[in-house]
Parts: sequence; C-alpha cells; structure tokens
Amino acid sequence: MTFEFAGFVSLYFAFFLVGSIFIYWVIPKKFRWYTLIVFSLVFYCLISWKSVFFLAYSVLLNYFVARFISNNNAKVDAYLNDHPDLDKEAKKAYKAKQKKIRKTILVLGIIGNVAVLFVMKYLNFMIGNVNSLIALFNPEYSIPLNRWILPLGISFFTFQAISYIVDVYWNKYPAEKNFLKFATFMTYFPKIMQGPIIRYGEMSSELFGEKTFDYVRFTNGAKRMAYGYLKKMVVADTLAVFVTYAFTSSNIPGFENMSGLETFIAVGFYFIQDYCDFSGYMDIAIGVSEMLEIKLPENFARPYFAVAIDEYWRRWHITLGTWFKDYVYYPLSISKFSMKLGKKGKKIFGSWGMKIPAITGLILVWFLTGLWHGASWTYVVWGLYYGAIIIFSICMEPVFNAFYHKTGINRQNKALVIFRHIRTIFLLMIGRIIFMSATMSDAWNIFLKMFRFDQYSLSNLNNQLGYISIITALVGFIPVIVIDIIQERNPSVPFLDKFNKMHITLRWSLCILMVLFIVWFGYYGSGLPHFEFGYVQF
Amino acid sequence: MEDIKNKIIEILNEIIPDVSNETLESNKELVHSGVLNSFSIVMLISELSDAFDIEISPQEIVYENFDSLDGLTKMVARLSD
Repeated sequence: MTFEFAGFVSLYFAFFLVGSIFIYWVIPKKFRWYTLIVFSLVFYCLISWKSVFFLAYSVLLNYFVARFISNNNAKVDAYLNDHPDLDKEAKKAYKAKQKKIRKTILVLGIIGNVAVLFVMKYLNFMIGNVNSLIALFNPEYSIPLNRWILPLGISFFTFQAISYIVDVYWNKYPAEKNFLKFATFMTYFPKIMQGPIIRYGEMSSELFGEKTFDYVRFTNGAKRMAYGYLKKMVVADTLAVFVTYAFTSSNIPGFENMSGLETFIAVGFYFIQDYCDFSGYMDIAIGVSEMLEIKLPENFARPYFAVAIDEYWRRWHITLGTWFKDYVYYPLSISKFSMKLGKKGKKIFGSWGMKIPAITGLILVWFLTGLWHGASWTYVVWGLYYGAIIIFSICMEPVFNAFYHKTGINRQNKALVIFRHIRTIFLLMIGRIIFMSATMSDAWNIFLKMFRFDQYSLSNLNNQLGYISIITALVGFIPVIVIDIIQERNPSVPFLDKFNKMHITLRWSLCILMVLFIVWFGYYGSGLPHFEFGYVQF
Repeated sequence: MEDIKNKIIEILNEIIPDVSNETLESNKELVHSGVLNSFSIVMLISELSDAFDIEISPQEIVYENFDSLDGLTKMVARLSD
C-alpha cells in the first residue's frame, strides 16, 4: 500500500471512504444522492484528473442525445393526440419520419461515443498495423505513435452511456431530465474504474431513492469489502509477482528461463490471481455501495465451477457479457440483413442455414470482446478462440443429444460432470495463455513448456516470491474456495446470510482474523509490491 | 390466438426438437430455465418474422415475451395487429 491515491488500494482511499460514508449518512435524506456526484468527481480527479475531460464529454454528449430522443418521442405522442383526425397511413408516415430522425441522432450519438474510444484506445494499434504494411515497401518510414493517456474507465463508461441512449431510443424509459442525476449515474465512483457496467433502468432507484440506515446491510457491505481486499491484497497481488515475471517482464519474458513445472505453476497462479483481482474489485465496489445502501449488479458467479465455456462466460464478467448480448448480438442477429441471410441459408442448407444469423452475431461479438480487452491481435485471437468453441458446441448440440440418447448416458453422471469440468479448465487454460502472451509465438512456447515434465526446478519461483509468500497467498485463497463452494451449493441464499447466523464470538473472531491477515500479509509484512487492478487498463 | 399458439409450437418443435410440447406449454421460464438460449431465440425470431410477416425488434427481447408460450403468443398477436 502506498500513500498515493491509486484507487481502492491506497491509504488515502480509506480516509476518503470514511469521510464520504460519514457525510452521506449525516446529511438529510433527500440531499444524500447529491453527495455521490461530489465524492465521485473527487475520487476520479484524485486518480486521473487528466481523464476528466473525456468523462465530461461523455456525460454531456449522452445527456443531450437522450434528451433529444425522449423529447422527440413526447412530441410524436403530443402531435398524434392533437390530430385525432389523421388517417392510419398519415399517422404511420409521421411516426416513420420521426423515428428516422431519432435513429439518426442515436447513430450520431453512438459514433460520438465510439470515436473517442477508438482514438484513445485503438489508434496506436491501427497506426502500428499501417506501419507494418508501410515497412514492407519503405522500412525507413513510419507514422509516429501518439502518446495520449488512456482515459480512466473509458471502456466501461462508454459502454454504459451507449446502453443508456439505446434504451431511451427503445423507449424502455424516458431520458433523465435532471443533469446531476445523469452525471451521478455516469460517474458513480465505486464502478467508474472497471465496472460493473450498470444500466440506468436498474440503477436510478438505487442511486436516487431515499435511504434509511440499516445496520445489518451496512456491516454486510463492510464484510464484503474486506473480503475483496483479502482477495486483492493477499492473494492476487502476491501471485501477480510471479505471473508478471513469467509473462510480461520487459524484453525477455521470464518463462523462457523457467522450468516446465514453474510454467505450469505460473499458469495456475494466473487463474487464481486474475479471478481474485477482478472479483476482489467487484467485492469492494459492491461492499462500498452496500454501505451506502446502493445495490450494484453482481459481475461474477463462481466461474470456475462452469462445466462448459458458454456457461463460464455467463459467470465471468456478467455485465459485459449481457451488454454485448443486448446491444450487439441481438440487434445485429435480428437485423433485416441477417434475417435475409438466414432465409437464404435455410433454402440452401436447410435447418443448418437457420443458424447463420446467430453464428454471424456470435463471431462479431467475440471479435469485439477480444478487441475490448485490448488493442492487440492476440486479444482478437483470444476472443475468436472462445467464439469458435461456443459456436462449435452449439452447432454440435443435436449430435451430442443424439449420442446421450442412444447410449443412455445421463448428463448429470458424476464422472461425466468431472470430465466436462476438467475439459473446461483445459480450454480456459489455453485461452488464458493466449490472453497473457505478448505474441502468439510466445503463447505456443508457453503451452509447450508447460508440459515439459523433465524440467522441475523451482528456483525462479523461490527467487521471485519465496515459499512464505506462496503459502500466505494460498492460505488467503482457502476462504475464497470455501465461500464459493458454499455459495455454489445453494446460490439463492447469500453467503453473508449464513455467516450472520453463526455464533457472535465466532463471527467476530473470523472478521478480526481476516482484517489482521489483510493488514499483516497484504500491507505490512509481505514486502511485495502492489499492482493496479488488472481491468483498469481496459 | 390458438392458431398463433399452434404455429409457434410447430416452429419451436423445429428449433428445439428435444423439448416436448408439454414442457413448452407448462414451462413459464423457457429462457430462465435454459430451454431457450440466445442462439435459439435468434432462430425463433427469424422463423416468427417469416411465418407471421412481422418485424421483431431488439426491444421486444424481454423475459415477459420469451419466457413462456403465452408471452410469445401475445407478442406475435400484438405485432401482427
């Protein structure tokens, strides 16, 4: 922990949080939500004041786009009410004309959002690709790369803004008239850096409803937050030392000097580190929000318990997956063009042809999912890799069903479930290697090295981390496994409800133990550096 | 309404042949329970649009419309008007 205000993992954040929560609860009920915009702007500026311009642009652009669309909807209703004598055709023509105007504004709004994201996040990637092409003809010349900063949380707040204007266009709810309320929704500090990607329809009552202090909810929030810090500071940041050394060290990645066993361990550590880092952030964001009596959507549902890749993606980064489904996959797959494609496909390929629109939509979604994670071809390959597995499994489903039917094998058979689970972990492992590697050639070398069973030295692991740190991280991971298993067995009852039923002595002892564990091994004792949350870069 | 419902059942039988008509008629959570997923929903929309000459836009894809046979029937009837 440093004294630099670096988001959730800094001592200043502790002071900021205590102050914010205190002010929030002592202020009169109806003014409470006003404090959120102040806290959020302070939080954002303290971390990256240079990014404020981009956030302000997004807030202003989307506020006015949504207001225009909503006003136009109201104008249409008013016009039709004032002209009851219009015949059906005239009404239809008027509605179509106005819809076209709304659609144009929506498209311009989306372009306004995506353009900034593209320039700030993907322009260098494009320039790099163009430079590679130029180098084929003239190795002396290259277009200089820009040195602009990546605005903090831009991928998250851009997606959130697009969902808002599209929802208003779809008439799911009217645009928010109160500018401060809309700005609060966009900037709300617990989710600004890396989600969850929230929807206005679900969040407006949470953010702006009147709150009454609830002791149980408040303490549950604090417990959830502490659990997030355990995951992040004790487990993720400790393992990140070795994971970073193995895959992203500058110049020569560490894996080239590592044994097969160490490479295998590094990939295993990465599974744990990435989960604890990202879900730890979510626990902190959700916990802080609960202390303010604001419910944020869950972003994880024990993803490593999945027995298939599509199931895994319904459990990992849930709000991103549902965003892509609602705002890219469905609109594209059921567009007039896709429907025509499906009809033609059905004529040529029969029932298989019916699948063409959905397959096209999935390919695009996974291409964009890859690109969303980073401006690099390895991310695109990573996205398409998962897309290919999901499309293959969906297309083969009738064949698998017929197989199970003929052989009489029960899908719930324990051995089969274990097999499917191991298969999923193996496929995820390949995905993770691609994700972490700088190049596809690195990914292939890491994959090969993992299975070099003749190399079992652990000297790099010991030099980078030391056995005490490894044991600390793994001990910190035990409660994560236990809580996930308990939650998986009965997902409908939150773990904290069960925890709160324990005897008071045991409950408090466990809480104090967890805090001491975090303070000692996550802050004072480890001597290891702390890392930014992984998804901040996206 | 009954004609619409029967036609929808016929289409669903083609898209998800492993699911019985009884399940289709009694299940009020077709999407929640996984009988219909995002893939089969797109196929269903394509077939419904074709069979009833309607345009189903993305904002119609909500649980209320797709979670039960009744919901689907009502949506198709409304869009056919």
